[in-house]
Amino acid sequence: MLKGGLHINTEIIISILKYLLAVMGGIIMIGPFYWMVTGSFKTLVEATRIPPTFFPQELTLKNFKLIFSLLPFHRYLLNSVFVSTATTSLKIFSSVLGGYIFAKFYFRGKNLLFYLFLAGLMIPFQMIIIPMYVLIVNLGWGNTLTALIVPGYCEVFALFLARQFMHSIPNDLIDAARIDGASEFTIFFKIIFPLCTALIIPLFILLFLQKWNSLLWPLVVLTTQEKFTLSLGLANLTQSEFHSELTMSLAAAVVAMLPILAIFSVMQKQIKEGIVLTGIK
Amino acid sequence: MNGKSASIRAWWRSVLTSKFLFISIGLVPLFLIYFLFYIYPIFQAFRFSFYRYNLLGIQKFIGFDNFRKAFGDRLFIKSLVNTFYYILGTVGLGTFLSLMIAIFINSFKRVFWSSFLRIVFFLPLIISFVVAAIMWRWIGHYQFGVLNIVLDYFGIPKVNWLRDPMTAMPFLIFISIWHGMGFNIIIFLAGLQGIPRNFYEAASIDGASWWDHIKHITIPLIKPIALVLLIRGSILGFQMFDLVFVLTQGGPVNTTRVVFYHIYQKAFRAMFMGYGLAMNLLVFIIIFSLTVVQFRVMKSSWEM
Repeated sequence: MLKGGLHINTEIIISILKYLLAVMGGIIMIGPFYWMVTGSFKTLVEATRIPPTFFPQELTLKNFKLIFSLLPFHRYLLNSVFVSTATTSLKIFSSVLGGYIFAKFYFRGKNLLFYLFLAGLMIPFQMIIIPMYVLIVNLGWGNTLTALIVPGYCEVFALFLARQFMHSIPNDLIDAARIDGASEFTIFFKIIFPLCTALIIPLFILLFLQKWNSLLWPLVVLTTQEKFTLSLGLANLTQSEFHSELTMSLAAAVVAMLPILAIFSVMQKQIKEGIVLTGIK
Repeated sequence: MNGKSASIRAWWRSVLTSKFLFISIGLVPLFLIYFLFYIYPIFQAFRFSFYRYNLLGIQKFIGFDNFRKAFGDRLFIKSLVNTFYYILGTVGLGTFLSLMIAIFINSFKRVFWSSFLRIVFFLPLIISFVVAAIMWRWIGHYQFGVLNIVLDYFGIPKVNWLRDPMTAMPFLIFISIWHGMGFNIIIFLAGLQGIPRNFYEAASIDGASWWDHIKHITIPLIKPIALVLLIRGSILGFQMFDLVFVLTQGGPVNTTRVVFYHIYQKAFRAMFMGYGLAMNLLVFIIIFSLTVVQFRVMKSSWEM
């Protein structure tokens, strides 16, 4: 039991202050999430009430119904799911395969090829978006989802990570399989790929996240609403005639956020490892 | 008959097990796509910055005209200034803040608080800038946003966060820092764990205060990591687009018109693609120089 005055223990005060600061930090970081989610369940009337209600008094799903009825929102969702999954799967496949080849095989020009990929890492996407767009259009892929998926097949960053990871796979394992008569493809799919799970899972999540949240490339490529991805649809909503429908935008944002949030809460541990793994990026 | 199909099968099998086929299938698509969609556009980008160039097929070599136009483009210059302002705020202030918070998190002995804070600061990273934009537009709404309502309650006049030229960019900077801090914090935390405890203990024995600890031990030892984060942040800072596109479209009186938003407008809306490429090239040179400078500055302060 502390008595006040002369015997105030500074350590306890500092501790209390620290906890307070931590809680404040929590509020600033998480509060906006809470505010957005509760806002999406409020009617516009209640949402614009002053003083605002901390918890919606009339829980309503109207905003969510609106986004699906006034916009092709289900299309946005479908497109995003399709594009993100397809792209990320392709990236993982190409990177693990490429990383394996660069790590375990020898052929002429291997180093030169690798340095070529290394150089590409230095160029940010925005430098080449203009000619890439012209190329896409010339290929007839303007306003298609293909344009969102195919150019992304090669993800240099993932290729590097995969190559690094391959060093942890003993060559003897591979040699033994070869002696047993397994084809290279069998070795890759049945041995190498499963061994890379620790790399693939965090990488998949990271790449999926990137693709799901990307706005610029879909914005440039897609011109009809039906083809929009979620991010694009969301951005479009804020610029469209519905921009003043505040609660509607909130609902849309919540829906856009939900899948990612779900994935992350399910895969917490793998993500932590992934962050450390991909740290320097 | 049997002999023939057996040898065909044997041939087929030798092809499938052949390393050559495997390597080809593995690398050829990779290289093709990389070359077609990455290397080729790089050359195109460089080449067509010297042309009048757009989708309608008009291509005319005009030498350095695009570059001259860029130097005379007031909006372009302004966008560069805005971007520098943005980077100063998000990278300068943001990285420093992240370090302080990382040190703060690190000082918690109990796992509960340490994990809680890590998760809490990391969460904003997983949403897109578009979602973050909508989130904060709602909070910063002039009439109905929580921020202004609270201000109003205390008698402070409401601020039009997104429409006031003085506050628009700071508000964007704030959102960016809020969003991106988690990444820096995680990296710093990893770095902090690499600093041996006994350094601090030795300093304590010598009577150093907590600020001395930070100033003379933590900061010097964390410099390499800080450098990487600063460089990464700066490069990313030049690429800021989403927030501006959704929230301010260049801002009240062009105060939030960042460089890539300007390039986007000129290249894709006004269809001056050659001009856009020229500006892109200039920006790339700036980024490159900035990175080199950052390296030098850090290196020299090391050698002190």
